[in-house]
Amino acid sequence: MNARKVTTASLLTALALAVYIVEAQIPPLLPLPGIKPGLSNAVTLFALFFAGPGVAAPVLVARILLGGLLTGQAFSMLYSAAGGFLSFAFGACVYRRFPRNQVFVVSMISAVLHNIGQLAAAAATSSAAVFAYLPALVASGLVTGLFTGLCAQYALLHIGKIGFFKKNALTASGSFISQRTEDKNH
Amino acid sequence: MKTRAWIALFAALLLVSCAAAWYVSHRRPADSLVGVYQDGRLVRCVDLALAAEPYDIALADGCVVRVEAGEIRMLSSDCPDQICVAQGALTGNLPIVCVPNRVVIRYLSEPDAGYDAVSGAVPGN
Repeated sequence: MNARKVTTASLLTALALAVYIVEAQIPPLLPLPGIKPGLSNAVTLFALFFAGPGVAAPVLVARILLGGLLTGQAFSMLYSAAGGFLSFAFGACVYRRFPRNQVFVVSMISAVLHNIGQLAAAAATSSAAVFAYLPALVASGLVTGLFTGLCAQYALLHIGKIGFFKKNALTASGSFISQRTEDKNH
Repeated sequence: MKTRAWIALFAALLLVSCAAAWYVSHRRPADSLVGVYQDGRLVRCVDLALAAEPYDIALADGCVVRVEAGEIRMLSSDCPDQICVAQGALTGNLPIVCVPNRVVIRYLSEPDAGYDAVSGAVPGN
Protein backbone atom coordinates (compact mmCIF):
# COMPACT_ATOMS: atom_id res chain seq x y z
CA MET A 1 0.00 0.00 0.00
CA ASN A 2 1.54 3.28 -1.00
CA ALA A 3 1.04 6.65 0.58
CA ARG A 4 -1.72 7.70 -1.77
CA LYS A 5 -3.76 4.62 -1.05
CA VAL A 6 -3.28 4.99 2.66
CA THR A 7 -4.31 8.62 2.52
CA THR A 8 -7.33 7.88 0.41
CA ALA A 9 -8.38 5.03 2.66
CA SER A 10 -7.95 7.18 5.76
CA LEU A 11 -10.00 10.03 4.38
CA LEU A 12 -12.76 7.71 3.27
CA THR A 13 -12.76 5.89 6.61
CA ALA A 14 -13.15 9.17 8.45
CA LEU A 15 -16.00 10.11 6.15
CA ALA A 16 -17.70 6.75 6.53
CA LEU A 17 -17.42 6.94 10.31
CA ALA A 18 -18.84 10.45 10.44
CA VAL A 19 -21.82 9.41 8.35
CA TYR A 20 -22.26 6.22 10.36
CA ILE A 21 -22.27 7.96 13.70
CA VAL A 22 -24.72 10.61 12.61
CA GLU A 23 -27.00 7.98 11.17
CA ALA A 24 -26.80 5.96 14.38
CA GLN A 25 -28.50 8.81 16.20
CA ILE A 26 -31.62 8.41 14.11
CA PRO A 27 -34.12 6.09 15.80
CA PRO A 28 -35.50 3.17 13.79
CA LEU A 29 -38.17 4.31 11.37
CA LEU A 30 -39.95 0.99 11.15
CA PRO A 31 -40.45 -1.61 13.87
CA LEU A 32 -38.45 -4.10 11.90
CA PRO A 33 -34.97 -5.16 12.91
CA GLY A 34 -32.08 -4.42 10.64
CA ILE A 35 -33.65 -1.69 8.56
CA LYS A 36 -31.32 1.26 8.38
CA PRO A 37 -30.55 3.76 5.64
CA GLY A 38 -26.98 2.48 5.53
CA LEU A 39 -25.61 5.76 4.23
CA SER A 40 -22.03 4.93 5.13
CA ASN A 41 -22.17 2.18 2.55
CA ALA A 42 -22.21 4.89 -0.06
CA VAL A 43 -18.69 5.72 1.04
CA THR A 44 -17.62 2.08 0.88
CA LEU A 45 -19.12 1.80 -2.56
CA PHE A 46 -17.35 4.94 -3.67
CA ALA A 47 -14.08 3.58 -2.34
CA LEU A 48 -14.60 0.31 -4.17
CA PHE A 49 -15.21 1.87 -7.54
CA PHE A 50 -12.72 4.66 -7.12
CA ALA A 51 -9.76 2.87 -5.64
CA GLY A 52 -10.52 -0.82 -5.78
CA PRO A 53 -11.12 -3.47 -3.12
CA GLY A 54 -7.65 -3.03 -1.67
CA VAL A 55 -8.69 0.36 -0.35
CA ALA A 56 -12.38 -0.32 0.16
CA ALA A 57 -11.86 -3.37 2.36
CA PRO A 58 -9.90 -1.54 5.08
CA VAL A 59 -12.41 1.29 4.92
CA LEU A 60 -15.24 -1.15 5.54
CA VAL A 61 -13.50 -3.07 8.31
CA ALA A 62 -12.37 0.09 10.08
CA ARG A 63 -15.85 1.58 9.86
CA ILE A 64 -17.45 -1.52 11.32
CA LEU A 65 -14.97 -1.80 14.17
CA LEU A 66 -14.66 1.84 15.08
CA GLY A 67 -18.28 2.61 14.37
CA GLY A 68 -19.42 -0.14 16.69
CA LEU A 69 -17.10 1.04 19.43
CA LEU A 70 -17.86 4.72 19.02
CA THR A 71 -21.62 4.32 18.98
CA GLY A 72 -21.53 2.01 21.94
CA GLN A 73 -23.14 -0.85 20.06
CA ALA A 74 -20.31 -3.30 20.03
CA PHE A 75 -22.89 -6.07 20.09
CA SER A 76 -24.21 -5.31 16.64
CA MET A 77 -20.73 -5.50 15.13
CA LEU A 78 -21.18 -9.19 14.57
CA TYR A 79 -24.23 -8.62 12.43
CA SER A 80 -22.69 -5.68 10.59
CA ALA A 81 -19.63 -7.77 9.87
CA ALA A 82 -21.64 -10.70 8.57
CA GLY A 83 -23.69 -8.54 6.28
CA GLY A 84 -20.76 -6.36 5.28
CA PHE A 85 -18.58 -9.30 4.41
CA LEU A 86 -21.17 -10.87 2.15
CA SER A 87 -22.03 -7.66 0.36
CA PHE A 88 -18.41 -6.62 0.00
CA ALA A 89 -17.39 -10.02 -1.37
CA PHE A 90 -20.02 -9.61 -4.04
CA GLY A 91 -18.98 -6.06 -4.83
CA ALA A 92 -15.31 -6.92 -5.03
CA CYS A 93 -16.03 -9.71 -7.49
CA VAL A 94 -18.22 -7.77 -9.90
CA TYR A 95 -17.20 -4.13 -9.69
CA ARG A 96 -15.17 -4.27 -12.87
CA ARG A 97 -18.07 -5.46 -14.95
CA PHE A 98 -20.48 -2.62 -14.39
CA PRO A 99 -20.26 0.67 -16.27
CA ARG A 100 -20.44 4.04 -14.62
CA ASN A 101 -24.20 4.37 -14.89
CA GLN A 102 -24.90 1.06 -13.19
CA VAL A 103 -23.19 1.58 -9.88
CA PHE A 104 -26.62 1.65 -8.31
CA VAL A 105 -27.22 -1.89 -9.56
CA VAL A 106 -24.21 -3.16 -7.64
CA SER A 107 -25.36 -1.15 -4.66
CA MET A 108 -28.87 -2.58 -4.65
CA ILE A 109 -27.66 -6.15 -4.91
CA SER A 110 -25.02 -5.53 -2.25
CA ALA A 111 -27.59 -4.01 0.07
CA VAL A 112 -29.88 -7.01 -0.27
CA LEU A 113 -26.95 -9.34 0.35
CA HIS A 114 -25.98 -7.27 3.36
CA ASN A 115 -29.42 -7.75 4.85
CA ILE A 116 -29.34 -11.45 4.09
CA GLY A 117 -26.00 -11.74 5.81
CA GLN A 118 -27.33 -9.93 8.87
CA LEU A 119 -30.38 -12.17 8.89
CA ALA A 120 -28.23 -15.26 8.68
CA ALA A 121 -26.15 -14.08 11.63
CA ALA A 122 -29.32 -13.37 13.60
CA ALA A 123 -30.69 -16.78 12.72
CA ALA A 124 -27.48 -18.38 13.92
CA THR A 125 -27.70 -16.66 17.30
CA SER A 126 -31.46 -16.65 17.79
CA SER A 127 -33.50 -19.02 15.67
CA ALA A 128 -34.27 -19.66 12.03
CA ALA A 129 -37.68 -18.07 12.54
CA VAL A 130 -36.14 -14.66 11.90
CA PHE A 131 -36.13 -15.49 8.21
CA ALA A 132 -39.77 -14.49 8.23
CA TYR A 133 -38.29 -11.01 7.90
CA LEU A 134 -36.55 -11.84 4.65
CA PRO A 135 -39.13 -10.30 2.30
CA ALA A 136 -39.24 -7.07 4.26
CA LEU A 137 -35.46 -6.87 4.39
CA VAL A 138 -35.12 -7.59 0.67
CA ALA A 139 -37.55 -4.79 -0.06
CA SER A 140 -35.80 -2.33 2.24
CA GLY A 141 -32.41 -3.40 0.89
CA LEU A 142 -33.52 -2.59 -2.63
CA VAL A 143 -34.76 0.84 -1.61
CA THR A 144 -31.80 1.83 0.57
CA GLY A 145 -29.38 0.29 -1.91
CA LEU A 146 -30.82 2.42 -4.66
CA PHE A 147 -30.41 5.59 -2.64
CA THR A 148 -26.87 4.96 -1.45
CA GLY A 149 -25.92 3.64 -4.88
CA LEU A 150 -27.07 6.80 -6.56
CA CYS A 151 -25.15 8.86 -4.01
CA ALA A 152 -21.97 6.96 -4.76
CA GLN A 153 -22.63 7.01 -8.48
CA TYR A 154 -23.04 10.75 -8.75
CA ALA A 155 -20.03 11.31 -6.53
CA LEU A 156 -17.95 9.04 -8.75
CA LEU A 157 -19.07 10.78 -11.88
CA HIS A 158 -18.08 14.24 -10.68
CA ILE A 159 -15.23 13.66 -8.28
CA GLY A 160 -12.66 14.50 -10.95
CA LYS A 161 -13.34 18.16 -10.43
CA ILE A 162 -11.62 18.12 -7.06
CA GLY A 163 -7.87 18.60 -7.20
CA PHE A 164 -6.87 15.74 -4.95
CA PHE A 165 -8.95 13.29 -6.93
CA LYS A 166 -8.27 14.80 -10.32
CA LYS A 167 -5.21 12.70 -10.86
CA ASN A 168 -7.25 9.57 -10.38
CA ALA A 169 -10.38 10.73 -12.12
CA LEU A 170 -12.39 8.44 -14.30
CA THR A 171 -10.78 7.77 -17.62
CA ALA A 172 -12.52 8.97 -20.75
CA SER A 173 -13.70 5.51 -21.69
CA GLY A 174 -15.79 5.44 -18.54
CA SER A 175 -13.95 2.75 -16.68
CA PHE A 176 -13.48 3.36 -13.03
CA ILE A 177 -10.07 1.92 -12.53
CA SER A 178 -7.51 4.68 -12.88
CA GLN A 179 -4.41 3.97 -14.83
CA ARG A 180 -2.16 4.54 -11.86
CA THR A 181 0.67 5.46 -14.18
CA GLU A 182 1.99 7.86 -11.60
CA ASP A 183 2.15 5.15 -8.99
CA LYS A 184 4.21 2.98 -11.26
CA ASN A 185 6.66 5.78 -11.72
CA HIS A 186 7.31 6.02 -8.02
CA MET B 1 -27.39 -6.16 -19.20
CA LYS B 2 -29.01 -2.88 -20.02
CA THR B 3 -29.89 -0.48 -17.28
CA ARG B 4 -33.57 -0.70 -18.10
CA ALA B 5 -33.47 -4.43 -17.72
CA TRP B 6 -31.95 -4.06 -14.28
CA ILE B 7 -34.57 -1.51 -13.31
CA ALA B 8 -37.33 -3.83 -14.45
CA LEU B 9 -35.79 -6.70 -12.53
CA PHE B 10 -35.50 -4.69 -9.34
CA ALA B 11 -39.03 -3.34 -9.67
CA ALA B 12 -40.35 -6.86 -10.02
CA LEU B 13 -38.28 -8.05 -7.08
CA LEU B 14 -39.50 -5.16 -4.99
CA LEU B 15 -43.12 -5.96 -5.80
CA VAL B 16 -42.69 -9.63 -5.03
CA SER B 17 -40.92 -8.96 -1.75
CA CYS B 18 -43.49 -6.40 -0.64
CA ALA B 19 -46.26 -8.85 -1.41
CA ALA B 20 -44.42 -11.59 0.43
CA ALA B 21 -43.82 -9.33 3.40
CA TRP B 22 -47.49 -8.42 3.56
CA TYR B 23 -48.46 -12.06 3.28
CA VAL B 24 -46.11 -13.16 6.01
CA SER B 25 -47.26 -10.52 8.43
CA HIS B 26 -50.97 -11.08 7.93
CA ARG B 27 -51.35 -14.80 7.59
CA ARG B 28 -52.30 -16.08 10.97
CA PRO B 29 -52.01 -19.75 11.79
CA ALA B 30 -55.13 -21.60 12.76
CA ASP B 31 -54.26 -22.36 16.34
CA SER B 32 -53.21 -20.04 19.07
CA LEU B 33 -50.12 -21.72 20.41
CA VAL B 34 -47.21 -19.35 20.78
CA GLY B 35 -43.65 -20.29 21.56
CA VAL B 36 -41.21 -17.99 23.33
CA TYR B 37 -37.65 -18.85 22.39
CA GLN B 38 -34.40 -17.61 23.82
CA ASP B 39 -31.04 -18.55 22.38
CA GLY B 40 -32.83 -20.88 20.01
CA ARG B 41 -34.46 -22.94 22.75
CA LEU B 42 -38.12 -23.00 23.58
CA VAL B 43 -38.44 -21.35 26.94
CA ARG B 44 -42.16 -21.02 27.29
CA CYS B 45 -45.21 -22.25 25.48
CA VAL B 46 -48.34 -20.12 25.68
CA ASP B 47 -51.83 -20.93 24.54
CA LEU B 48 -53.46 -17.58 23.83
CA ALA B 49 -56.94 -19.06 23.82
CA LEU B 50 -56.54 -20.20 27.41
CA ALA B 51 -55.05 -17.03 28.83
CA ALA B 52 -57.86 -15.83 31.06
CA GLU B 53 -56.18 -12.97 32.85
CA PRO B 54 -53.24 -10.81 31.76
CA TYR B 55 -49.88 -11.98 33.04
CA ASP B 56 -46.24 -11.27 32.45
CA ILE B 57 -43.36 -13.54 31.61
CA ALA B 58 -39.97 -12.26 32.65
CA LEU B 59 -37.15 -13.60 30.54
CA ALA B 60 -33.56 -14.06 31.54
CA ASP B 61 -32.08 -11.00 29.88
CA GLY B 62 -34.33 -8.18 30.91
CA CYS B 63 -37.20 -8.81 28.52
CA VAL B 64 -40.74 -8.90 29.80
CA VAL B 65 -43.46 -10.52 27.72
CA ARG B 66 -47.08 -9.75 28.41
CA VAL B 67 -49.98 -12.03 27.56
CA GLU B 68 -53.45 -10.49 27.64
CA ALA B 69 -56.75 -10.63 25.79
CA GLY B 70 -55.60 -13.31 23.36
CA GLU B 71 -52.50 -11.37 22.34
CA ILE B 72 -48.87 -11.58 23.21
CA ARG B 73 -46.41 -8.71 23.01
CA MET B 74 -43.05 -7.58 24.26
CA LEU B 75 -43.82 -5.28 27.14
CA SER B 76 -40.35 -4.03 27.88
CA SER B 77 -36.79 -4.80 27.01
CA ASP B 78 -33.36 -3.46 27.78
CA CYS B 79 -32.24 -3.39 24.17
CA PRO B 80 -31.14 -0.06 22.66
CA ASP B 81 -33.46 -0.01 19.66
CA GLN B 82 -36.76 -1.08 21.27
CA ILE B 83 -37.96 -2.44 17.96
CA CYS B 84 -39.39 -5.49 19.67
CA VAL B 85 -41.47 -3.32 21.98
CA ALA B 86 -42.66 -1.04 19.20
CA GLN B 87 -43.85 -3.98 17.16
CA GLY B 88 -46.86 -4.51 19.37
CA ALA B 89 -48.84 -7.69 19.44
CA LEU B 90 -47.83 -10.81 17.58
CA THR B 91 -49.73 -11.06 14.30
CA GLY B 92 -49.35 -13.50 11.50
CA ASN B 93 -46.18 -15.34 10.78
CA LEU B 94 -43.90 -12.44 11.51
CA PRO B 95 -42.20 -13.21 14.80
CA ILE B 96 -41.39 -10.69 17.48
CA VAL B 97 -37.63 -10.66 17.64
CA CYS B 98 -35.30 -8.99 20.09
CA VAL B 99 -31.93 -9.57 18.48
CA PRO B 100 -29.66 -8.31 21.29
CA ASN B 101 -31.37 -10.61 23.76
CA ARG B 102 -31.83 -13.40 21.21
CA VAL B 103 -35.53 -13.67 21.95
CA VAL B 104 -38.00 -14.90 19.34
CA ILE B 105 -41.76 -15.05 19.89
CA ARG B 106 -43.77 -16.79 17.25
CA TYR B 107 -46.74 -18.97 16.55
CA LEU B 108 -45.99 -22.64 16.73
CA SER B 109 -46.87 -24.28 13.47
CA GLU B 110 -47.96 -27.87 13.16
CA PRO B 111 -44.54 -29.47 12.56
CA ASP B 112 -43.30 -27.90 15.76
CA ALA B 113 -46.21 -29.18 17.76
CA GLY B 114 -44.11 -32.05 19.02
CA TYR B 115 -42.21 -29.81 21.40
CA ASP B 116 -38.66 -30.74 22.14
CA ALA B 117 -38.55 -28.87 25.37
CA VAL B 118 -41.12 -27.06 27.42
CA SER B 119 -39.60 -25.76 30.60
CA GLY B 120 -42.24 -26.84 33.00
CA ALA B 121 -44.65 -24.04 32.18
CA VAL B 122 -48.34 -24.80 32.22
CA PRO B 123 -50.04 -23.26 29.18
CA GLY B 124 -52.24 -20.39 30.14
CA ASN B 125 -50.77 -20.00 33.59
